[in-house]
Amino acid sequence: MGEVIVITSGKGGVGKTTTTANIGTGLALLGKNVAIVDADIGLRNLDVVMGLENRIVYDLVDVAEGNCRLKQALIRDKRYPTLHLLPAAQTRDKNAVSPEQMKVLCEELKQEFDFVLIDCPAGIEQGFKNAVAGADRAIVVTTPEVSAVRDADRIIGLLYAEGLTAPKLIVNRIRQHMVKKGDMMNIDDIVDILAIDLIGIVPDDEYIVVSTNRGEPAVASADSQAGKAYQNIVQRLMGAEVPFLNLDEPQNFWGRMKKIFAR
Amino acid sequence: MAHDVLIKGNRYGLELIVDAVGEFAELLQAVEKKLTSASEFFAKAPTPPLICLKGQALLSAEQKTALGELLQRYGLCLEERVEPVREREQPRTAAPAYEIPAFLSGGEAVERPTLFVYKTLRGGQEIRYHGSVVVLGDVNPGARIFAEGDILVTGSTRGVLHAGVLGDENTVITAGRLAGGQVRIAGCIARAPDQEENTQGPERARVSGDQIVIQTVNR
Repeated sequence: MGEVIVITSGKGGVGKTTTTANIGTGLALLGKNVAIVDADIGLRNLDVVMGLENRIVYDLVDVAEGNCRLKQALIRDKRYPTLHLLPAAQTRDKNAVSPEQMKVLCEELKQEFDFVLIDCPAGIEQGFKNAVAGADRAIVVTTPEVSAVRDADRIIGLLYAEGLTAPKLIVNRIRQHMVKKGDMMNIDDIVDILAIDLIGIVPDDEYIVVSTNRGEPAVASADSQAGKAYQNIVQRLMGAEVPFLNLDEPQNFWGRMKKIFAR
Repeated sequence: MAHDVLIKGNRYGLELIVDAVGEFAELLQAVEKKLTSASEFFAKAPTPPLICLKGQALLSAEQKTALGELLQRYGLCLEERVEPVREREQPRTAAPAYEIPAFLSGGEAVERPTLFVYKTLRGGQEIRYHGSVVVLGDVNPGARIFAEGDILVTGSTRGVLHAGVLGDENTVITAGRLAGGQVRIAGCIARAPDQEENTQGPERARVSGDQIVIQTVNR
């Protein structure tokens, strides 16, 4: 029996979909049976980030309405055989599915998969209620911006009300040099306000843009900082104790050389 | 806003439970509607039933009289009950449950119903209470507390705290750290300075003259 994890944030554009794609791929790389579900009905893009857009035949609404069997709608990833995507409908809206239908769907997916990741839409309306309905755990994604942290706080309150009392936090797109100069909120400030367990810090990485456009999640790449951060998050999700990335470390060859000689 | 009005019986009389809070005029209408629909039931009662008010509604003295008059037209008396009376024989206007010691008689102690909140209040969460509110946690930005009495927050507060909403200027707001947001006492409003200040220890806000002053709490 698997576990359903919802990935949510409140605010849009903080990296829910990227996080879902990377954690899903990371778990699949470790040989886990994973289903990722796009709950953003009407504005689907998890399929694009995964590079599986043109394989969609049936979608989540078709399954909920009984137009097809669950197996028919699940798309097997082209690179990782244990990774499956349940895409959202593009022509409908959030009201096409009810929380009860989502609960049934999650129960069914849990029988088949070790991990079921749900990509939650932005906002706190129907789409959010659907996405969290069947979840056992929650991951809240935020960026080091006051507005994103404010929304994350609101979402944590709403998750509590739904019975998800121990959400985990991912701080995405952190820029260490700005934090050092005092131009960006640091991790401690964020954790201080939100007061939930931190499960990952993902640095701002240009490679994410490249990987998103290519449809290849960054977690599979060995030399992406963000990819490494996602690998660590996956390890922590599976219960391992992994230290957080040291973002202060100079990453290029010359930087490392300089550090050696500086000793 | 639609008012949810419920009448329930208990062993002392009837309770009028009003949950949603909004315009007082609408509330009166909702209560009247409910009473009209239940007037036959009241007519059968052997003695004029007592009715007491429960729920989230905060009412001022004038509003309470208005509601009392409305209820009287239906043969009911409004009875305000702060604490449940345990014995039937016990008079309703009983002596306070706790005798304030003489050495605290200069106003250093006030007896009031108090709501304890054992968690952090997050954005969008709101508490309205007809007494004092104690939060064992933080009050985050976007959260609001409206209390007839005092407010105490053990952690830091960045939300909106309003003590003495019915105009009691003697109420105070105390917090482990007043980190931002607004403090309001009765009709006065103060907001955090735009520049963050380094403060040490808990602080208390009170009304002095016609403005709010904030002092560190000396232990």
